[in-house]
This record gives sequence, structure tokens and C-alpha cells, in this order.
Amino acid sequence: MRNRLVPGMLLVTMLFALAAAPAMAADAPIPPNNPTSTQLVNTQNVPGDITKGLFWNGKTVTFHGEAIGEVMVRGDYAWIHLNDDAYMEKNVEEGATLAGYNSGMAIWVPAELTKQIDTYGDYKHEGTIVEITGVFNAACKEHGGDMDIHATSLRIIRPGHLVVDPIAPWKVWLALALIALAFGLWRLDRMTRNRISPHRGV
Amino acid sequence: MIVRPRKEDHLVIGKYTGKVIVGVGLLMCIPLVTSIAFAEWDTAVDFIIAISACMVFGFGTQALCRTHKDLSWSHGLVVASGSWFFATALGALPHFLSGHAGSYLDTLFDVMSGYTTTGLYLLQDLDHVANGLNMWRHLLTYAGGQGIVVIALTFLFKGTAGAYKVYVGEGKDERLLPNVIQTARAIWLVSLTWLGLGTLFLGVRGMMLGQGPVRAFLQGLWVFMGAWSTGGFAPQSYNTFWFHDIGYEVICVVIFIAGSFNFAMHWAMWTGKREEIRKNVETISFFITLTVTTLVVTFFLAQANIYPDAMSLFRKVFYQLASAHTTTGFSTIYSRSFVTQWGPVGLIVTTIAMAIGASACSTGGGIKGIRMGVISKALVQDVRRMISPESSVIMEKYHHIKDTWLSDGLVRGAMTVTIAYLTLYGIGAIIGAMYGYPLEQAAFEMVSACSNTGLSCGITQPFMPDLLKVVYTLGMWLGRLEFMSVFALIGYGVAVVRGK
Amino acid sequence: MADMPRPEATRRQQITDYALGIIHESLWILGWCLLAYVMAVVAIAVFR
Repeated sequence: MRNRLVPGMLLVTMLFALAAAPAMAADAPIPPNNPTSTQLVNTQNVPGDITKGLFWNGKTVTFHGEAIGEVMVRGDYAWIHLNDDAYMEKNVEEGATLAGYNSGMAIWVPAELTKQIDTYGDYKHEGTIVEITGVFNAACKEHGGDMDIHATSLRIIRPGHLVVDPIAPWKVWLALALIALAFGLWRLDRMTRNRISPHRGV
Repeated sequence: MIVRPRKEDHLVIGKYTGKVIVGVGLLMCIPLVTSIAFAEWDTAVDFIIAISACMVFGFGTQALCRTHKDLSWSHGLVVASGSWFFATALGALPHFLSGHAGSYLDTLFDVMSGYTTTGLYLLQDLDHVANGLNMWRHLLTYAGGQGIVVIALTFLFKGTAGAYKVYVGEGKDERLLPNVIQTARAIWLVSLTWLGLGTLFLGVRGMMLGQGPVRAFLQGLWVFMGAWSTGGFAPQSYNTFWFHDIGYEVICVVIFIAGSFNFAMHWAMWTGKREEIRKNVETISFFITLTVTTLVVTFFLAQANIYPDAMSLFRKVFYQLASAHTTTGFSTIYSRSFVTQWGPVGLIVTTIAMAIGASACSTGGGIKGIRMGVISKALVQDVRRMISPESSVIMEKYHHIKDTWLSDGLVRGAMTVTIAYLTLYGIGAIIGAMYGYPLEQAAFEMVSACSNTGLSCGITQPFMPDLLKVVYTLGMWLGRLEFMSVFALIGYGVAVVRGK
Repeated sequence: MADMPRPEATRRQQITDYALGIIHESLWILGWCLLAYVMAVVAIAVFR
């Protein structure tokens, strides 16, 4: 009996750790991009400015962000947009602190790879966080001068989820009170109008 | 001596302002229905609150302000600007209740930007915003482009002479048809027809680009509204860069250039006078200045080797400049790219295009083509007078729907308003520069706000200084209403306080 | 008095006019965009 107790406990502990690890990893914050979308957007393309100029243009970068909106499949390739802003992990409806605009990059990726993305971000969804590796173009020749990344690989960092925007009770009370007041004033308006000029309306 | 307004004046103004606000409340029913259709319950409650608030204000003022007096000119101007003021304050409620706004000032900025068809915004996390709220944002530009007063005229006013005075107070003075109510309805016919066709084209193109049908047509509707109203709001934070497609860009360009044309010109084209588009001083002036600014920027960016080939260069330059000149504000480049890729010359020439602006009596802003045309002709006239014998009589004329002789009074009116715009642009640019922004960027942003364009070079941010938000909001308002009605509102206030 | 025009013909004429108006405007804008493109391409070729 004693011979089986210790290994048994070790096994249970290991199984527990295996089960808990993904849950614990999910809470770990995702490190920021390097370069971030803001840095990429600020890529100077003016010749002569070598401090920021052309630094990433044509280089392979690794970029992650929340997949937003939708995938637009065009033949063998597709457009996705990845936002690496303050709302990447939670949106405003879930309680994210307001921290400025959205920020992200347009990604041109083989359509086959996008099939792994299960959720795209919008009002009711927090999108899948996706990491891609690809070549950054400050003014893409293939896409009419667009700033984009041509991705060659894609992996999922965190799946997306449904978002519920709860209705605050005070809003319901306020709505009911205002409807009542509006109705009352409408009746008043109609009544006083008829009293002043029963035959002429304005 | 300033004559203090009497009680009757307050009553007239109150009554008609109330009517316009009831109209705003009714308009909000469209986003309410949208929210319900997409099961966005919290947003639906936000709109119920906002609609009720509008009705409380509207019915309340109408009940309080009982009068049979009709509007005079000064009343009309005050009603136009006063109703814009209250429509903004109440229209901001859905934005504020959504939780996406940093402050009430931010929502006032956004809603004023919507009504004035500017297109700058401070709303945060736009990519996660409800369909109902997006519907309201775009509807604001469509309604504002028509004119909130035009909407009220169509549905809520009787055809009195006073109604015309409010119409003019909103910055339009073209009589398409003898009766102002008929004029308002003609404007609606043109806008709604374009709405149907434009949404269809954009929706179909969206589906061809890989969008699902619901998103394609919903976004097509919104992009149409942003384009036609020359507003510039788009459903995603990426603006029209989202679509990455020349076909979509071409459709947008056609819609926003058409939207920037004078409604009287549309009406002329629609009633058989199809040569109007090539004879009209505004379209001629617009095409000349757009071509010149496009070629100048093309030249500089070609030398700087920003874009890899001629087609990319033209696509980017032309789209941005057409968007600027029509005061639309759609873009297919990031805001900061105006600074980092286009550089000072690109920035300044774009600023000039925005400053000149679109046609009069359209959804566009800026100094406007007709004034550019009148002033140019006045210059030609003065030069001719100088070089001609003293006894000769030199008169110039221009064509706008009909031929008109250039009179000194006409030229004076054009110059006064032009100087007012330039002064406003200058004041805002200097205030921006005082906050530390480079002058050409501060000028770009202020001109963008006051000409109701909405392109940004990165200054407009939720965390920008509050005073700058106020300056841009007031600039948008003054620019859209062409100064007179806002001055009338201020004058009214002064007369109440100091009049005898 | 000469025959009054039938209301339906007037309405049909109106709608035809409206349609021709939109088509005219759109073609004019597109045509001029094309012209601007040609001018830009020539300018780029000359100045690059």
C-alpha cells in the first residue's frame, strides 16, 4: 500500500499541474510586440533620415494582435487585420480601461492559414490573438502602396471568446423615467395646442 | 442701440428649436432598430434613453413656447445654430452611454464632427463598437450633410416664409424650386437615390472582396453615408484602408466627388441641363485646383521615392487629395504617414486643398469653389480694368446654373467670408503650435477641422489637450454654418444681456 | 387648347432625366479621374 501511495500522489500532482498550466498560462499577460504597430506606422520613408528611416521596410518581423472584423479571402490569399492595442485581450464592454485609439496592421496571408482563426473581434466578440511572421512593406508594390505585412506563417496564441455587454440597471430605470416624462410632455403639448388654437395647427 | 429681444422672440426660437430636436429624436429610431436587430440590448437601452431625452426637450420647449409668430431673418439664423447646439448635446448621449468615450467633451467633439460632416473622432476602441452606435455615427454625417434643418423642414415645418430663413441660416441658400419645402424634398430625392445606388455598388463590391453579405451591405451603407456626406466616418479604425482594393476606392471617389457638388447643380443635371457640370464655375474651379494640387504632390513624392511605382503613387496621392479637396476625409494611408511619408510639402499642399474645399450648398466645407471662382474672376476684372482705357466699362461674368454678372457686392461677400475662414484657420494653427505641435501639422489639423474635412496627421487623439478639442469643435461648427448663424446666436445672447 | 401631356409620360420622362443625370455625372467624374491619372503618369515619367 505504501509503495503505491507516493507514486500515486506524484501522478495526481502531475496531472493537476498539467491541467492547471494552460489555465495559469492564459492569465499571463502577452508581451508587447517588437516592433509595435505604432512603431511600424511611424516608419519614416523619407530618404536621408536614417534614424528611423527604412529600418523595418523589407525586413522580416514577427507581429501578434487580435484578429479584428473578418477575413477577406481573395483567391489563395486573404486579408486579416491584427490589432495590438490596449483592447487586444479585453474590449471596453468587458471592462478594459480606455487607452486611446485602436492600432494594428494589415496582414496578407495564405488563406489556408486563416482557417485556424475561430473568432474575429467586434462588439460581441474578443478576437483570437494571432501571431504571424512575415515581410513588412512600408509601401507594398503588390498592393498599391499599402503599408502591410506579407505573412508566411501563422500561429494561434490565444483563442477568442464571446463578449457580453451587461445592461446596467440604472440605465433601465432612467429609460423608463424619461419615456414617462416624454409621454407626459407630449400629451401636454397636444392639449395646450388644442386649447390655444383648436382649428389652426402649426 | 442694441434692441433687447422680447418674449415673443424667445418663444419663436424655442418652438422651432424644439421641432428640430424632435426630428433628431426620430432619427435616432434608426440606430435603435439596428441595435435590436443585432440583439445589442445595452446599446438599445442607450438609444431609448437618448430618444426620450430628445422628446422631453422637444415637446417641453414646444409646450412652453406657444406662439403663432413666424420667423424673421435673425430668428432663422439663431434657430439654425441653436438647434445644432442642442442636437449636439443630446446626440452625444448614445456615445457617452456606450462607455467608449473618454469624457462628455469627447462625445460633443464626435457628434459635432458627425453633424458638420468633418470626420475627426475621439471615440476609443472603434473596432469593438456596436452596430447600433456605428449606425448612429454614420447617420449623423448623412443627416448633417443634408442639414438637420432640411430634415426638419421636410417633415416637421409648414411651408412658411420663415422656414426659408432657417434653411439659409444653416449655410445653404440655393433655391432649387420656388418653395423651400419643395427644395428640401428635391435635395432628399437626389440624396436617397444616390444612397440606394451607392450602397448597392459598395455592397456588391464588398462581397466580391470577401466580405459576408450582412457586413458587406451594412458597411457599404455606412461607407456610402461617409462618402456622400463628405463626412469621412468609416466603420473600422482603418477607415477605407480596410478594403485594400482599387475598385472600392474608385466607387468611393465617384460618390464623394458627387457628394461635394452643389445640390442645385445635381438638380440641373437631373432636369435636363446636362451641360451644367462642365460650365459651372464651381466644378471648373474644383477640377483645376484638384489637378494642380495632385500634380504638385505627385511631383514631390515621386522625387522622394516613397511609393514603388506610378500606379501606387497615383492611387495614394489622388485618393488622399480628392478626399481632402472634397473635404471628405476618407484615407487609405495611416494618419501619421502624412508626416512620416508625405513630408512638409505633401502636408502643406493637402492643407491648401482642404482649405479651398468643395462646392457651396453641398455637403462639403471649406472656402468653397464659388468663392474661388468669384475671387479669381474679380482679379481678372481688376487687371483688365487697369490695362484698359479709363472710359471703358469692364464687366466679368460667371456661370453658376445661370450666368451672373460680377458685382462689387458679390465680390465683397465672397472676400469677407474667405477672410473669416483664413482667420479661423490661422488662429487654430497658432493655438496648436503653442501646444508644441509643428506649425505645418497644427495648420493641417485646424484646417481639416474648420473645412470639415477630417483627415488627421496624428494630432487628434483622445489625450490631446482639452482646449484644443474645444477649439476644433467650435471651428467645425463655425466652418459648417459659415459663421453668420453662429454670430447671430452670439449677438442674440449679447442683446438679451445688454439690450434695452 | 393643345393636348395636355399625359401625367405618366411626364413622370417617365422625369425618371429618365434623373437616371441620365446620375449617369452623366458619374461618367464625367470617372473620365476626369482617368485624365488626372494620365497627367500624373506623364508627370512622373518626365520628372523621375
